[in-house]
Amino acid sequence: MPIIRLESADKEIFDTDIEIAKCSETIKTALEDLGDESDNSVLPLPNVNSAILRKVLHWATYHAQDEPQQPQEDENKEKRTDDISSWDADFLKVDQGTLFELILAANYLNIQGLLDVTCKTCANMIKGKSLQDIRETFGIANDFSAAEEEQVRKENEWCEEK
Amino acid sequence: MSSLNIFDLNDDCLDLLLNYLTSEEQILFAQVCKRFREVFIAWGVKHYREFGIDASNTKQSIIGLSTCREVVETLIIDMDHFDTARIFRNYGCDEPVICFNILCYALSGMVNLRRLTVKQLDYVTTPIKKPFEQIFASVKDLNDLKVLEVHAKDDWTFDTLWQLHHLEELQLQIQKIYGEVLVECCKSNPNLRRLQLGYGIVVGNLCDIVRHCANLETLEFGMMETDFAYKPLSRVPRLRQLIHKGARESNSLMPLLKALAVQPQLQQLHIDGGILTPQEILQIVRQRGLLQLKCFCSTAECVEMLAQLIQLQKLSIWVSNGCDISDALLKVIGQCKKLQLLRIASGNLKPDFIYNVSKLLLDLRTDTPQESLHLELPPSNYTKSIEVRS
Repeated sequence: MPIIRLESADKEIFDTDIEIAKCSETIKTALEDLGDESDNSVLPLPNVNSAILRKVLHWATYHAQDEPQQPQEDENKEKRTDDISSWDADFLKVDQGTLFELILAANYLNIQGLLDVTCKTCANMIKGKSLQDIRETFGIANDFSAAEEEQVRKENEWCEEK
Repeated sequence: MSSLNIFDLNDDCLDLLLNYLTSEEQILFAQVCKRFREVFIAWGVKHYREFGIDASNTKQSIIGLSTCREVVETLIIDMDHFDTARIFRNYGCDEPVICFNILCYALSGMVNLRRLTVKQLDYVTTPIKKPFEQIFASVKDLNDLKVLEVHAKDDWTFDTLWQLHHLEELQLQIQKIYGEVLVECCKSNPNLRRLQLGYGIVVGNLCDIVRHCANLETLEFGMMETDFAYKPLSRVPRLRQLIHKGARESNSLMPLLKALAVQPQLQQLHIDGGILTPQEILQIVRQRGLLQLKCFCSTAECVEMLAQLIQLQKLSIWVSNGCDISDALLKVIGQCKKLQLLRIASGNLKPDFIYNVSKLLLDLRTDTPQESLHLELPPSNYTKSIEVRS
């Protein structure tokens, strides 16, 4: 089994099956650039810490046999968020901060499947909530001035018609 | 435990997140805080840069438009959205006055709007008063608004059109506009390059605009007037393209064409409707710089005269009286060496016309690479040539 040695931001080395590592388009491209020299060489991933990289590789190992994702047929159409598999749902039972780190890692490593499922999980934290609930959920302060607030209200009058 | 906050996500990730929200949730998202609002507006570029409001729009998409107003570059407003006539309608808005007010508010903030089309193609019943003038008032300070197109089936008023100042192209397909309004409009839009007017819509004298059209290059109009009414149009200093559409009196363009020929600068002439008299053709061939011509001819002699327009690149003609124009056209092709398109909408041709054209071109166009000629013939000719051969 060919191995690639991935190095996290905090310098921990992860010996990883190349086929599993390749679910990341970023790693796949890097390997192609390395060519024959890729065997046993170390690939630094300065944007991912070891705790998150461990989780990402855990996810990638479980999903290694998945069919490649079909490209989205309609960019403009709202995407479903209620189709998260139970394994993924369990996997993503993490605190908010970890979820955001996973989103950032999936984006950086370009792992479409992981990005999709983490964004869905985050979107589900917004769905069905009031404005105030959303702010509370994410600990966001309302930073609009009174004038801006009035402007927003005006735009949304459209909403309030019966 | 990680201490990251949702604000630690970069804009790319927040942008992705929006794709998983419904339009209602997206609007809510945009109200959470400034950063989310900016992300929504950036996301809106791909959805709202070119946008059309028609009967099918949901409220949410229009609120989104309002939020993202600064990214809109092209907007089409179909007045059908504000129609209240149909009882069982399940589209458009239920409170057109409120909706329209918000639309006007959004319009006034569309600082990047370049092209606006307002159309009313079906009769509408709506409580909105003077909708077109309200729209003009809303967009009057938009410096980038260069192109305005108005289509109206009902007889609305357009008296405040002069409030706009930056138009370069104006198209009015409406019921009527007063001559003095049009004059004011030309005065306040000194960079107007293109003016397209529907048939017979000007109440008063169209030619009153001439003094205020320093940069006008294209004029499209149509009217049934005596020949004197057209003549002053020749004084539009930069006129390059003249289009007359619809019915007109015989010979009515003679004085205008004659005046234009004094300093020939016309490059395109389209006369859709009304067969040209030999006198008119005589004046047309004096427009030495003409590159494109579209017209109706009555005789083969008239067609043959067009061969004098040696700069011609595109010619579309309609000859309806059944005379054979093959030889006349061969003469045109022989003389007009820059011709790229010859379109015969109607006219009688000999069966060997295509053969003769090919032969002529082989002799004439010997340069490499060869200039090609695009030939369009009426279908009846094609059928006829097959019959002759069999």
